[in-house]
Amino acid sequence: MRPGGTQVQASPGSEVALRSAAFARPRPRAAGPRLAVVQTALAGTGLAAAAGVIVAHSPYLRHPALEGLVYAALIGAMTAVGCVALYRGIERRLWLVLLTLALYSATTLDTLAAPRPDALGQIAWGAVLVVAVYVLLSFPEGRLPDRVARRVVAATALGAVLVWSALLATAERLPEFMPAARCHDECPRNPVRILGGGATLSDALAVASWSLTAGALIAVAVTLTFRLRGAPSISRRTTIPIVVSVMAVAGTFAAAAVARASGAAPATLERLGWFSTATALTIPSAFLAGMLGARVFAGGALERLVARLSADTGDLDARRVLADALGDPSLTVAFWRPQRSEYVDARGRPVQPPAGTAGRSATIVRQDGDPLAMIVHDPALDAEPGLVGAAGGAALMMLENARLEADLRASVADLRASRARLASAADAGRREIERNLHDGAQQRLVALRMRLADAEAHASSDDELRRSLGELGADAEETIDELRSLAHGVYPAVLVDHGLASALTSVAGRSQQPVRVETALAGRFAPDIEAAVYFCCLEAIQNAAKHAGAGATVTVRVQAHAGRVAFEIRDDGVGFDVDNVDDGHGLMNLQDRVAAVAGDVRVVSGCGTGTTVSGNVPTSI
Amino acid sequence: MTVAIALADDSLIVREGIARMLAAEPAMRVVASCGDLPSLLAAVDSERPDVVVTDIRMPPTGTDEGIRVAALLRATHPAIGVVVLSNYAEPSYALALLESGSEGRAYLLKERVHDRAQLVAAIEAVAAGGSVLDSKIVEPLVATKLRVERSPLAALTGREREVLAEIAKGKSNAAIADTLVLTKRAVEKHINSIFLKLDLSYSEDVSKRVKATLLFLAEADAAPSA
Repeated sequence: MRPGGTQVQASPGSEVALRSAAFARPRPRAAGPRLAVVQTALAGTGLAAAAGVIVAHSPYLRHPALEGLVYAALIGAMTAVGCVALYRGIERRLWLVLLTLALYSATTLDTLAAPRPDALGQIAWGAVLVVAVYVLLSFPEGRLPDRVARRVVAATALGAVLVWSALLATAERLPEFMPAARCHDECPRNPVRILGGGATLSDALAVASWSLTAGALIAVAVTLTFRLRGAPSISRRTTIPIVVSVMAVAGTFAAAAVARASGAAPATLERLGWFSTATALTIPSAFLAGMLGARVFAGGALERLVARLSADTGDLDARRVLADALGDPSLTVAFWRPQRSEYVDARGRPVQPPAGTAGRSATIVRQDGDPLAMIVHDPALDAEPGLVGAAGGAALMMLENARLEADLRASVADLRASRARLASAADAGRREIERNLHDGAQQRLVALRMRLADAEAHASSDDELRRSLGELGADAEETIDELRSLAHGVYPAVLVDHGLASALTSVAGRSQQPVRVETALAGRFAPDIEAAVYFCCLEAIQNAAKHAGAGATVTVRVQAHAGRVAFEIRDDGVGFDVDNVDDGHGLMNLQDRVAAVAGDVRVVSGCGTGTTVSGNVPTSI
Repeated sequence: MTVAIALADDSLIVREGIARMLAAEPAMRVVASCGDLPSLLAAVDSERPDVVVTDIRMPPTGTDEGIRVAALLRATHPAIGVVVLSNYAEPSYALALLESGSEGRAYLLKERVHDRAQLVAAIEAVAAGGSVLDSKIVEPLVATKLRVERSPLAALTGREREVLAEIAKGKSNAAIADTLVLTKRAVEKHINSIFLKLDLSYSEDVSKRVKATLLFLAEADAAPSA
């Protein structure tokens, strides 16, 4: 049982440590397990002795000394289990261990004749039920893992409060909780009675408390059984013994409730009482068995892992190997990238360490003190502390290889992103220039042209002047045309405003050769993508104009299909030898442009057979 | 009757230039000069112009304010004509303008602006509900369309192509007859023949056929399906 869902343990063989910043609920490590164990052992021994003494002095028992020993043994067993769990690091909450021991010991007050201690003992029983349910449902993770568990605990608590308050408020005499019902008619008086209620009511409430106990325990058993579905293999070892013992105890309480409700003889009830005390002993044993089972599983898992690692030197999928060996299909592995101080998955994508409440546990594997990988797994594997760390240590070489590969992929992704940013920035720069030309020089020329026309109109008397002004005006118009062409060449506004089809049609219109544009595009795409396709097509069209020869026609086709934009520029001109070309054809440019948006392009050409430039880019990452 | 005009362009020197030119026209009166879309809309409300002469790119976004104004006014002030002056010769801009209806809309290249006669003609045309498209947009379209393999324009005679271009520019039959020096009857015959050969739907309304013709000339061919 442990707090948070995220642990890292120190384990023999490989050094593992916790990156505290990334995980929730930092634990105070001040005490250390050894101190906790000593404290528990001392407290437990004391409580066991006290409980034994109290029970041995009960006036209601047939064999008080024997029962005292049994109780002392029970508390001793619980203490032992608590110590083992604390020492191994499976349980960290000392307060919970001590609370459980104290409450269970307090229940022995129930066997005394004095009213007030007896009442306290009764209350202790109610509390023990709730705490027991909580402990059962939160082993080995140390917290309630889901809504069902929380609801079971809440329902039990509510039921306990109702039944025990009713009992304490109304009963004339307090019955003993344990089914032995040994005090019969001489049970101690109820010191906190407020309302009146007959013996039948007390009887009924006693039966209710046993039924509640049986019901709560059955609910626990069912919840734990359902939790086994989809859980890692180790869970079977830790959970099944507990389910069995819980059902046994539940059974005895249910039987006792039925017996008492149908008015069985006190002797029967007493025998059932012994049964329930006996089965109570199985619960700490079940915990021990679970911890042992986890240990055994861990041994087997590491054996399997080492065998797998030494047998197969081929391509090992780190995640698969570890998941199979540890029996946790939900296991994932992330690798450390020192350049970026982050973890990435096998494909190179960044991964966040799990937050404290996510129901995942993370173990960091180190090599020479530096982080190597992070294994994110089901918290159930922490039932055997150090198992995951040991597995990671055994697989260091495999993990290192996988890390290198992941690092490489991440670097490639980084490069690609960087390239895309550069291309995007370059395009943005060009759009800026086009804008400035439009808003600045182009407007000025228009205004200038107007003023020249104005001046020309006003110079009606002077023919010479008028002619000069007319010529100037014509020059200005040519300049306006050229500037518009230039601005269009830098970055066509029509591409920004109306998309690929319009922009390509515009190129076709300005071209000297016949260019036919065919498009099947349902909508717009991201500006980077439209720019890449546009400039690629533009380059190809310009190449065709330069090299395809007179009389060639060019056909441009662009279509969007299945998440990609595909383009093809085909001409029926003279072609060229693709392998033997200097880069005057701008092929490198084409490839760069398209690669920056993760697309591809190829050029097919042959002398006399024309040229086809075709490619495609994905429309989303 | 003077035509009240609201000017809009984010460049002050262009606005002043246009205003100065129109000042020489007795029939034109500039009632507002605005630098962005919000002030233009405010001026339309307060000054009630007959025609708006506007650039496409203006604040606040600097993308398609001029086109948006035309669409807005179609709904709120349908009697107001809009002349869009633009640096861009691509037909897609003219088509965007005509999308909200071609009545009372004109698209001229900004460099046309120095030619007072043309500007005034466009203003008067839209004030009367007609449409005008700059020839510098129409003629390249015709030429491109003709060059293409198996062009539908190949079926037209040279004269018919000329008439087609004039239709696209927004001229009425009478104006076409004037420009090409033909009789009105000849123009009508040509028009019938054109629309038949190109399988276009014929409309008596001059502005409607502008849009149809422009669409026909500007349409990019569909790519064969993959």
